[in-house]
Amino acid sequence: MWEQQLVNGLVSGGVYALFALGLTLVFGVLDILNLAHASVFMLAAFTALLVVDQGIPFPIAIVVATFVAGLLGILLERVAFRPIRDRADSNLSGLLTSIAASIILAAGALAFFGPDAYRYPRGSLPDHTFAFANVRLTALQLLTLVLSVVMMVGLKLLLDRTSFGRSIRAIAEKPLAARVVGVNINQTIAGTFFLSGALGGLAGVLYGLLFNTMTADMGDTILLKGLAVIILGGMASVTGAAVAGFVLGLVEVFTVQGIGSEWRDAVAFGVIFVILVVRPTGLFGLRRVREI
Amino acid sequence: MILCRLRPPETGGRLRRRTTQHTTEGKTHMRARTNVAGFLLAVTLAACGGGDGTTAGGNDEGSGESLTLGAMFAQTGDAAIFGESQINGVRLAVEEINGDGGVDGAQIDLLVEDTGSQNEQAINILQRFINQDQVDVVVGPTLSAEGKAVAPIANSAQVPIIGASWAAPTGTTDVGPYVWRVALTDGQNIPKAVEAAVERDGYETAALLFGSDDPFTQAGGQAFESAAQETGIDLVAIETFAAGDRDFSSQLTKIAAANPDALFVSATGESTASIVEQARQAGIAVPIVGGNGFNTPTVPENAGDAANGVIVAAAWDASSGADNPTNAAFIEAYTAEYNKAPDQFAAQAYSAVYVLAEAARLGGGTGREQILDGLKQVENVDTPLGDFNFTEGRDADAEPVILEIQNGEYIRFES
Amino acid sequence: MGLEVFFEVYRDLFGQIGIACLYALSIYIVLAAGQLSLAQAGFGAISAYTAVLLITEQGFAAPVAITVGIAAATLAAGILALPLLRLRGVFLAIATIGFGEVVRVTLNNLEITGGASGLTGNLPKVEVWHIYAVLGICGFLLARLAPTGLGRSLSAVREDETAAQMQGINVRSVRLIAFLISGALAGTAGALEANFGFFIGPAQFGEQRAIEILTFAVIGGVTIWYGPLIGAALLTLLPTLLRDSGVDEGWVRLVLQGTILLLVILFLPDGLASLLPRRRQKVPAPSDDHIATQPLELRTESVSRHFGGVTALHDVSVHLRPGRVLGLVGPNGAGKTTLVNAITGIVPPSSGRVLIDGQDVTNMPAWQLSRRGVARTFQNLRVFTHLSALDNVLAGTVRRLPRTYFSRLLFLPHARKQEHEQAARAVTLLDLVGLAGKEAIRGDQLSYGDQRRLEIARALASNPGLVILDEPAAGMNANEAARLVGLIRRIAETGRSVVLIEHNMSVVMKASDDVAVLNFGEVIGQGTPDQIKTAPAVVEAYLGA
Repeated sequence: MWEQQLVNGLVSGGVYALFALGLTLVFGVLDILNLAHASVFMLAAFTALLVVDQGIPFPIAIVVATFVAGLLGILLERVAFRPIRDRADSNLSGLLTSIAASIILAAGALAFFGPDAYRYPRGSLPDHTFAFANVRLTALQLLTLVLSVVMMVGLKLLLDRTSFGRSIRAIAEKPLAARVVGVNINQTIAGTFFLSGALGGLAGVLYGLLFNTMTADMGDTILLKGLAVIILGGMASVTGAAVAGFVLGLVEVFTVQGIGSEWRDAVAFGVIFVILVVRPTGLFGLRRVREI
Repeated sequence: MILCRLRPPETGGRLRRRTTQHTTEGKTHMRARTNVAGFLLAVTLAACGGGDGTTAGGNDEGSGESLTLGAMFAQTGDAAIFGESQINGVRLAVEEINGDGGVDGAQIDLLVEDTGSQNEQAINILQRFINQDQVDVVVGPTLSAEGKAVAPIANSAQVPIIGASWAAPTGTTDVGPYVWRVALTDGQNIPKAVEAAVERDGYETAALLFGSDDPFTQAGGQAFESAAQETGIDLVAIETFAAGDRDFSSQLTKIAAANPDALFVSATGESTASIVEQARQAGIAVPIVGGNGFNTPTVPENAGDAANGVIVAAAWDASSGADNPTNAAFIEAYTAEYNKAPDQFAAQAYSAVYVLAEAARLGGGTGREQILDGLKQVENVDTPLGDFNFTEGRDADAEPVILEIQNGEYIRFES
Repeated sequence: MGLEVFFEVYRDLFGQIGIACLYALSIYIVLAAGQLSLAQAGFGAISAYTAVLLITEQGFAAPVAITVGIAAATLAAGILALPLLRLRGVFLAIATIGFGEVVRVTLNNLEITGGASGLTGNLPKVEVWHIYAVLGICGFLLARLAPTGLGRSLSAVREDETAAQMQGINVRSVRLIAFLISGALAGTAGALEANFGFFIGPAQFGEQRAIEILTFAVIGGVTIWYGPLIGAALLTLLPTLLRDSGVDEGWVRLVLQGTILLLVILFLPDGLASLLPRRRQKVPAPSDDHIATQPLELRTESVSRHFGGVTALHDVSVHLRPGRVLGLVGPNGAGKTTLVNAITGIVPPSSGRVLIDGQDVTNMPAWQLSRRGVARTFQNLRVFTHLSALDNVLAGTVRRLPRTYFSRLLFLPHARKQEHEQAARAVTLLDLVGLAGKEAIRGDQLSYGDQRRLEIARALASNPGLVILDEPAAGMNANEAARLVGLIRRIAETGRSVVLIEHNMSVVMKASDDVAVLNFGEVIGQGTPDQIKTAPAVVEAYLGA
């Protein structure tokens, strides 16, 4: 039973981690908390569904939807964040424009998809289950685990080893200096948003595949979890978000197992509170965040 | 009197097809009725409030010519998925009755409004219905919470209001003589289903899973708990989930480890099918017993084989309905009109309209007091829910139907 | 439709608008203090449930129950403030959203609160006019707040906390007060809301409500107290307006809300209220009266400051006699500002002592030091950018402002006279530093040099006995620098001790009585300007051997 719960926790933790990585990237670079990230999550899930509905195999749908989510991220940046980027209180304005964008995107989803729940066509998803050592692992769960880890490692490598990654880190550290040494700010930020959108979108696609119920409001609960993860991990830390995502998933599951399922949602809030009071920089965060 | 307010145009069946299984093609089709000019007009004229000054009726005598029916359901917001069915059901019933000559010659004038699943909007809409539109009777709103907020208002304004989906045991029909309900609650259904299931399959232990932050599923959970007590079943695991959850794996793993003889579930909407599917995935092969929330065609459709053997305590017979021709006709008409099978919400809303039409006939008119009188006299109204009667407490008086899901369909539970 | 029917139809709507306005006021006060707190819905829930339960379970009379509910919400605000008060910005927002959700989940799970089914059986006891009467009172109380000590402290804290501290404002207690007021107002809204209708449930107090209240404030604007009210009224009316004009699709309302929000943020950052004309600030003539000050004696004893492995200051001992000017010079990075931060309590020393008039003030917090009579300007400008020059200076006087709030509530002439006097003195200071005629100009619209001068005026406003000027001559030309020298001497002559950090050597030498030279965190020379100029260690430090 505990082994199974471990698997459950890692799977949902992987989704949380991917989602939170998108949040943390944007926060690290722009000091903005992008609450429209949840809308990207939701729209990517629907995109994947629409692709599969056309008869295209789901692996391709995953790639397409993730890419589309990245583009959506770029669009968001252009419309909601670039206009306020140079303001003195850009982190507050950015939070507010992200709220506005999320409202509009949610309304659009409601208009287009209605309140109904959508599912993948029967037979379009694998339903194989691996059973071993007291554990049942579905193919989709395995896919989630693998993809989330791969993306995290990939992101770390990209940030550490590529010049694009260096540009991102430069802007995150000192935007003015980055500009001085020739970093193309607009391009790099757009690229960051592409990555962020892709990560959040992949999280949405996987979530949709795992639980096979897509609704226009499916981003709501994940947002709070994402906030808990980035606070636990440290608001601008990539490693932090990755680790904290899995930690949150596991803690939630073991809370259900050990204490009771009524307390499951309290975990995310509890984490937020305790960390903010005891160690606001989170487990891995080092940066002092700009105050409003 | 100037007409300051623009009445929303009557629409017959706003179709919205959804992309379901791979076999149905379909586009989502929206009738956007944004009327910018009307909006600006309303802004400038909002102060005068407007209204149809020519209608003097709506009070005791009724307008004679028509029965004004105010329907308010959640077309958006958390309960939107139920509201849509309800509005469809109401529209179908109104269309049929009007096509058949109306209520003793009086046509039903249907007003439809969206509460957005919010108490405040429900209140505002009700006030408009009562005071401005002069409705003779109200059907809805969708949620118990909304119902509790508006029932006292309708009651003191002496306007009959009929709930087609309120799940709460108290706070609605017990408020006063003008509040009625055609929906059987889980409190009424579940004990019967558990009883029947235990009798046939003989469970000794069971696990319970219910939604803790939705009054509907919370009430259902409580009903299961007391039913378990009544029948001497030992609840070896009690787990909860929150309304937005999709991942039930941790709760189900815990339940699987407790090895129950049956799984009782009170869930609604999208979670229902997911729970069934995930339960089977988690290795829970025992029978599942569910409440009203399981009485929706999407459950057998979406859960597929996993749903085989699920026992449902229902307020409406979703099975082929062979022994209820009214039900069969309703299912056929609804499917033809909306291109999908009806669910319990549609059936109850449809029946509510037929009940109030009958009440108007019995009461001798289309006015509020006459409808109220008629409601008190309602006896064995022929509806898809069966022969419908009210209890002393103005609730639905009917035998719950116990259904079983087999091969994607509802069949009558065989004891 | 007759008027009576109109009110019947829209009675609940009017009530809802009034309640939304109360919530709007409750978020206004915290935003006015620069705190992004989204706890209003949670406080409202606490108050609402307390009031209803007292009425239905304990048979309390409604006014009493409502009062107790408000008290409960305020108490909750006080308790919540303890851990949360040091959070800023986004962190505070997240934490308060979390708080709101905790309240909602608790209400869902408790039996006494009816769980998810909520509470019924409570008859409405509150009329629409009650709501608007309360709203009127609360609005009035907030409206009269602006030019008072608390009002100015709120703006100062919102603008720049460090500068506010140096003006003697106890930032922590100001933020706490704002939080408590917010709790009380939200509690008022919640208790009234609960008794206006028949039913309350947890769902209406969740995160969505909290964000909705935030949008009231953003759309209406928070630069003035009635801004959020505009947003509240507009957004609460919106669904009804749309319904009345035939728009049924719920998503239209959402799109409209989101678009309005986006447009306001992008193009009208101060909200819709900024479209309304504002009363121009009156600038009085300068006054003649001077307030006497006692110059303070400053002594540091072996002050050291480490940051991790870096030693910024080592064994620094300087002495400033009362009424004299001490110049503090040294190459960049020598530790001058660090020393000043240590003296003013911004960054206390790692070891050593700071003594003012013989009193050990080493670990005194900045705001207390400021009240002791220490004032300063900042190397990186910390002007209150959204306030006018006059308001900047007046913010510096908050510790000396007489308590005019109650007089203002009663519109007594005494209050107006006091404020006029304060403003006149502020104008005098602005004249003194060379900003005559620029009193009404916003801080961020002044030139760089003018902003530096403004900081000096603001520093003088609290009537300090010790003034620390951190690079006041930056960006000045020779003429301005010469006038600055005169200003510094005049400041000292009017009874203050001055510490002057400067790179401009001629300013330092002409303005100072004594000079101390720092290099690599150590004092390498201290004496009169002439002595210092020729000391070999100093020459070497500046020119290199």
